Amino acid sequence: MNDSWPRDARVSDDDRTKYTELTESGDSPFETWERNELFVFAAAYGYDQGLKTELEATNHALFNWDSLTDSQLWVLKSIAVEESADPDVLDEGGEIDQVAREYANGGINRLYQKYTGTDDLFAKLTEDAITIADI
Amino acid sequence: MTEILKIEMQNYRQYHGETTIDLNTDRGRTINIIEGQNGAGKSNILNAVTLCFYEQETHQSEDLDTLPYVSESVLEDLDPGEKATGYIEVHLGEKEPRYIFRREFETYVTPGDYNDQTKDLKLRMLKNDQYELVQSPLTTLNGLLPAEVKDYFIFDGEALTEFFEEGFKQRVRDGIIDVSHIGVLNDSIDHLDTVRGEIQRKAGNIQGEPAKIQEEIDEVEAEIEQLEDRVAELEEQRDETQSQIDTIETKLRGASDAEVQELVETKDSLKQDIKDLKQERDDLRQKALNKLIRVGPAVYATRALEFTEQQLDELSEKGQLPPKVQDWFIEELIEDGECFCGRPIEAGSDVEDHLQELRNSMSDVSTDQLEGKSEIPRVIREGNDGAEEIRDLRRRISDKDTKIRDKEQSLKEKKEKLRGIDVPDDIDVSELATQQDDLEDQKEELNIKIGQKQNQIDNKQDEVNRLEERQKEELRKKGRSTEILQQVSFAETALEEMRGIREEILTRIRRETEQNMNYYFNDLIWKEDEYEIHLADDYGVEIQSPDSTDNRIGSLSAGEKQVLALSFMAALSDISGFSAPVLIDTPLGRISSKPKERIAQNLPDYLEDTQMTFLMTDEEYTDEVQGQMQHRVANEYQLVYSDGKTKVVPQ
Repeated sequence: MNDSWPRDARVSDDDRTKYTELTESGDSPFETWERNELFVFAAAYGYDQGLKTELEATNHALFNWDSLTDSQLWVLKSIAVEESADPDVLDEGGEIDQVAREYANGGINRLYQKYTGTDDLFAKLTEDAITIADI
Repeated sequence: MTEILKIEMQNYRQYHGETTIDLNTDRGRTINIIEGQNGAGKSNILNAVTLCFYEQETHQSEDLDTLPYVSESVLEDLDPGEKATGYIEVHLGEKEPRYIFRREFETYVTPGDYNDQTKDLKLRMLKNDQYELVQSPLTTLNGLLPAEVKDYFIFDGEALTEFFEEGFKQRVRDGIIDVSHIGVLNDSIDHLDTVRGEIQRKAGNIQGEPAKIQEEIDEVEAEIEQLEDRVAELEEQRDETQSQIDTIETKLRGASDAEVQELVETKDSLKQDIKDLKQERDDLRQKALNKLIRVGPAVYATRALEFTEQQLDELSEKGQLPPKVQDWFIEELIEDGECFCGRPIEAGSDVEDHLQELRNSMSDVSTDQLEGKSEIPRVIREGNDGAEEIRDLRRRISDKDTKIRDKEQSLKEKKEKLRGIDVPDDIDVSELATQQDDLEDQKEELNIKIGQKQNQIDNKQDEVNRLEERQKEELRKKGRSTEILQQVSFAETALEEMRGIREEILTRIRRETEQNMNYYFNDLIWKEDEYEIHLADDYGVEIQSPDSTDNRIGSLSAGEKQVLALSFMAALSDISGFSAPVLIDTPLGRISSKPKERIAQNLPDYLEDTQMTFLMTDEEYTDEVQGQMQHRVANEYQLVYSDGKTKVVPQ
């Protein structure tokens, strides 16, 4: 990770509340997850569902970018490459941060909507994973 | 070691007249056995000790509630308005009694009933070869064995069978808190929290927006308080319902009809199977979720990963992305002046020029682009492999669901059959079974209600936190009340620190309890395999056998559960820091015959260097059990019950 990356992944207060509720509520499938894990998941989910959403005031640092694994980073980097259709974006940490947070913004809101709705979120997400994967 | 040297009773329940039980033990023989049939008065010896010390009887039963403290045989000659008295004395010490605790009681006869009264605890203590009356006996008692830890020294073994049933996490948590001596810390935290609230309210006195927010905070906090009261009520109702279910269960098990017995057994076994299957399903679900954390992002982003991989491949094909060679490796070659094959790399030579060119071209290529070429295929592969595992886990979850449905159907059928049984001259099986089913439904509904209320409390608490943040922000904006803000901030920091200290103490005690439980459980259990017990941060207990990593807590036999509970009690009595004697009523509870003998063999080592007094039924203290324990027994008594009176006869 080069110097072009910001230190933290920042989200809005409203999104922060959703991350907290989804990772702490006893009936949430993400109860045992860390917030950075849910962020990467939300970003990938948001990308798959085409939910890129403009960011509002992002007052809250959700996690430090350094805390992600290589695999998680490559998921987010690839989304940024596909978005810009240019592999040179890999050198632009700020650009990757922006794209990842926009997709995560849409993703977390949709996941939260599903969590508070009537769907069995666990069943839906695991089914999606099986359908999309090349198996 | 401090021992109970003697228990003296006068006219206490069925112990009519004067009764003395000498429990002084010899070196190496630290066990006392008091044997008696059910109803002979074993539990009342346990009760005598706790009534004397703590003014409460440990063993509760429906019969005891209606019976007077003073022996009925003494009261039967009295008229309404008259009273009779009695006392209990417990002598504690090492060889010689150093502490003599005494509690007197009296029973008044009222028309058709009795009225019990107890007097204050008295203590005579040996000082300079003389017994002196101690002014504050409770202080001395608290130094020997305070009320909050007494249950780990003086307890009813039969009740332990239920200890690791539903809701055990709360019991484990309570036990650990009892022995952690954090009472003062808890009081300080509560006090500081109140102070913080008061300061915050002061902030509310300021006019304008902060005051309005304070009103909202007060309202939400009042709602939380109401909800907490409601949860406490519902929990009490649930415990009461569970106790009624247990009473019916005992009655049904006592039915003489073989078909009823078998149906009750099958019903219980089906319930246990369903519970185990649900636990296994939840474990599989958790595994699938853990997998989803790791591979879900790669699966959802497969399209992007493949696109990026293709882009990097194209760069590579165009020669814009050289094979991944670390630039430091090339620099080292140039510096060493020799290739790893032994060929020299001379300064200014074509070879060195070529290497320099390669290194310069590499610095123009992003390291990320180079890494991506090898990383992305791995991430895609991991995603696909993980999705395959998730598919397999979902299949297994679905199998468990089918089995759960089948078992639930069987359970429904057995319940219906039981409700339809009419056995003349026996207990009313049909009525009891119907009552039990209704109570179980009620319990389930209560559990749901408790969960819902708990969620509401959590949400309200979040709301309070948000409001407090908003209030602070408003105060800051106004640039006023700096001092109040500093005070709030100080109180919050202090609270956080104190909660941290409390958590650290509890974590340490949890670890010690876990270690002790492993030691005692493997010491007491009759199996040769070494079991591993884990005590989780949420006070859940996991037991693993050497051949499997599955948690066996849900599938332990009654005997194993009893041993686990005994291990927990021993672990806590150790950690409590008090070296008090141990008194256990029915220590082997409902354990079946073979394991019973084996536990008996290990029981003398249960707590070394501690006096242990076991109150045992004749079914527990069999010839085989006696044979296993005899070498450690100091005193043995038989309780002989006749005409409503019990005599303690030395054996």
